[in-house]
Amino acid sequence: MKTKCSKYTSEEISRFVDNELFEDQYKTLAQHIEQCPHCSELSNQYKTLSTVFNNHVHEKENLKIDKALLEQKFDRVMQNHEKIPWGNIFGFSKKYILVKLTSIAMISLISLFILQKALFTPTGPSAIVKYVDTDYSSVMIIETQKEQHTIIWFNET
Amino acid sequence: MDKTRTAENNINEQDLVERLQKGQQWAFNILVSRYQDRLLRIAYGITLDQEDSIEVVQDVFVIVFKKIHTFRQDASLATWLRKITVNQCLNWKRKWKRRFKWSHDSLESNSGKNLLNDKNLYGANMKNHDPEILYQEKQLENNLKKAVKKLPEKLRVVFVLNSFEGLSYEQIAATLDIKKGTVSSRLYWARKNLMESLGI
Repeated sequence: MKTKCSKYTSEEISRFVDNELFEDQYKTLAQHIEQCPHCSELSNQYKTLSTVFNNHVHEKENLKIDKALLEQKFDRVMQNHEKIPWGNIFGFSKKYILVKLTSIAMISLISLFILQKALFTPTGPSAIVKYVDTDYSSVMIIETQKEQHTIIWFNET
Repeated sequence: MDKTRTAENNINEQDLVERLQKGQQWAFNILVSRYQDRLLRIAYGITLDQEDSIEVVQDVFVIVFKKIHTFRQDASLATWLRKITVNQCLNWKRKWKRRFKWSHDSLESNSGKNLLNDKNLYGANMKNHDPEILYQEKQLENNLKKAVKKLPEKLRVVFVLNSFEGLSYEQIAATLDIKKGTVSSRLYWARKNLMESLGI
């Protein structure tokens, strides 16, 4: 939007008031404002808006926190927080909680899988040497893993 | 009392944050006395209600009390507090907007142009005791307050941060998580709307 002066827009004057123009732009506009009554008036009006509003708020003498009430609020928070702060145990903040829990679950599952294989796999035969299966009976010759003993397994049907 | 005052003046921000994070009660007292005026002004500028702004700032301190351990000092403590205050004000306003509508305030007849252009007002004679001028200043203040009340929330917040805190566009942008260009245009529109409301 142009001011009554066609050289500068109101937005440029607004940025000038806030000292948010580049240095050379600022200097040029400052020189212009000294000579242009329209831009000078607008710039003063913008400044006055902030000054008046600021002044209005500074006059609010009753604008004070009730410290006793605030302390009561703090106490209430403390009472609620006296429960164990799970959120902070082991520096475990609540941020990204889902990712953290998923990672822990994955690590636990993988560990369990590996452990199960190592601990609970039966030390069964390394190989079945011979296997015979008839209508009346079955015979299996097996060799054990470590000791390499031969087992003959017979089953009559 | 004097000891507390001295401690209050001497303690630097980092030290204060560390003590707050350790949950030391007196550090919270220092925090409140050091920042309450600034935060109350911001809250009042946005809510335009004295009681609401006090409630909001109390809540801000309670939030800080609860969340201080999450403050990582990437920005200054003042910036963090300002951000929480603005968010609380906006949430507060949203909460109440659902229950009440803003009452309509008409501007008094001698509202804007003459008062805003009067060089005796807020110009060189800031400490003017002429009753006529004091009355006009008061009138302008009241009209401006009503005009600010009519500003859309987004424009008002930017205007308040610029007017009270004197923040640069970059600082306002960081506080509100918006672009610097957006700050510039919102501030311009805020001023334009205020001038229109004041009949200029």
